[in-house]
Amino acid sequence: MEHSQPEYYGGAEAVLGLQPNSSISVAYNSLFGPHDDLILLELDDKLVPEVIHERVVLRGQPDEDAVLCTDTKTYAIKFVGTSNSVFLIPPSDKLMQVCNDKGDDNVVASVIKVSPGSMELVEIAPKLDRLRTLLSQNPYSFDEASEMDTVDEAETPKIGLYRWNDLTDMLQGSDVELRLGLQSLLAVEIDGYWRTLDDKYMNGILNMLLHDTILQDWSINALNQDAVLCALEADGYSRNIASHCLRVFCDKVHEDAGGSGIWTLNARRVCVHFAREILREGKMKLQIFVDEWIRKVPDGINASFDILEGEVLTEKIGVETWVYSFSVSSLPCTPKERFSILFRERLRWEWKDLEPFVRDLSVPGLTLEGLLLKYTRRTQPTVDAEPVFSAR
Amino acid sequence: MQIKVKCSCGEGNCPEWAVVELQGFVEAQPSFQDRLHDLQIGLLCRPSSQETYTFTVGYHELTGTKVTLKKPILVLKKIKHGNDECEGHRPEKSSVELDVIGIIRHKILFKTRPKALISISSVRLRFLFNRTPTITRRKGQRWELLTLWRHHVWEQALNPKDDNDSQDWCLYSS
Repeated sequence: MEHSQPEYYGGAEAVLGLQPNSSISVAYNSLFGPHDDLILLELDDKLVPEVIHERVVLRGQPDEDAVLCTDTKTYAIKFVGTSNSVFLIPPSDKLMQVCNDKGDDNVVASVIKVSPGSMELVEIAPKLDRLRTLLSQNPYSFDEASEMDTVDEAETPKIGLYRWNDLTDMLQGSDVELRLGLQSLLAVEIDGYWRTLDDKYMNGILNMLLHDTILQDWSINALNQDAVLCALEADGYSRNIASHCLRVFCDKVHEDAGGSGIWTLNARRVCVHFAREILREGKMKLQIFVDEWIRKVPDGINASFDILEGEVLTEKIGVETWVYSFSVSSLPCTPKERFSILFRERLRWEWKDLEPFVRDLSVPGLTLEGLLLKYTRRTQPTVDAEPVFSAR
Repeated sequence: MQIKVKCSCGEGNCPEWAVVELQGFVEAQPSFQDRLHDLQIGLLCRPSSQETYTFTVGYHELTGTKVTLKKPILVLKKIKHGNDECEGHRPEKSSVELDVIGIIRHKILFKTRPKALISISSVRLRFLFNRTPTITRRKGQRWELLTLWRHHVWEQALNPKDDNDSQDWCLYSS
């Protein structure tokens, strides 16, 4: 600010608190200018505390439209211009108040900038499709696990490895959404990097867990956390990865005070794992698949084919029914791309087949019905027939 | 890339900024276009205890009201800590922060067509012509007519030749 003010600059207070039957002169401030560094952000009242308590961050690559993230949500930022003249009048600062003894005759509300518009927020789904690609570059494998520390840590180039901060720098989603994304990809933090485990490795550790269960005569519905972790560590897995295995394939049913607890095997995740394992080679005749699958699934788990919805598809070729792997978790999260891939896979979908592949789609402000209306054409030959969905 | 949004106001005491919003543009007289600083735009009056306001810009008077915004607006200031920008590599890494420096909850909105003031004294008039801007709208918009009409009336009413101190007026009319 200038040291000698020609007049007393009243600020926003003088305008907003203007008394009845009085007036104030509005003038350009001596620092009036374009002030491109001043940005207006319109937002919901409920988001104001989030911003003021410094819990929001803007994320995006230089070539992307930035998004604003709170802890839990992601918002697109849109610039909305105005053709009106919006005069911005800042509050008077301390220096200005020094001149306040001149009397009210000279009070001037000073305009610092004419604002061309403001930023507005629209809640969106996080853009995390790239996460899968990033993490698939360098999955954690038996080879790496057995390498141990033979190579000097500092010397190895970290190709395709990402720390939490790298991910928040590269991806457009809130912290909570990113953690959910990592969780759904079954990623784990190993030595500071977020990794997925390679299929063989994952298969190995699950088989080891099931093997230990039989060997120690544990109940699959009451696995003692400490006992399982100790057993897996004895089998050569790190404690971190052993805990990860528990989180992936089991659910905690009881928690002790010390953070330990009792876990139960998650039937669906174990069944899906073995189904994927079997179908890795390609499509199979349904009966052969089911026989082999049931043989692999541990005793005590009821392997019914329905449990695989959203993971496999069947098709009739001649008289035979074939089954092949088609996992919802490998599909894009954006509705447009999701439906495009679904209709490339199949021209027509019955609702019971389609539902597992679309129910996880979430677009703020749009229901699943809305998405179906937008991206599909629904046909129903008779009133009580199953509706069939085709591409729009 | 991440940009942190900070708030230096402390404990949510964000000072409130005021907004005066009107339709169209305010244009300074050509002689003042390059030195807007400290130039008066107009006089904001609150004639009664109601939240009704007038804003007098030149010989135009606007009538408006104070409105509470449906959604508040935060005033952010972009701060660059780019002291190593000359290094040239990855300039996007030079960190940028946004600082919340204020909040706007109310604005005084003038959305009516301006009313011409024709009963003011010539002394005041000259003062206004000298120092204050006028409101205009883009071509094709209706206020243009008003402007033309106003030119006509005032050029007839004020004959510069009769005025001893006509320099400023000439500046305006040329």
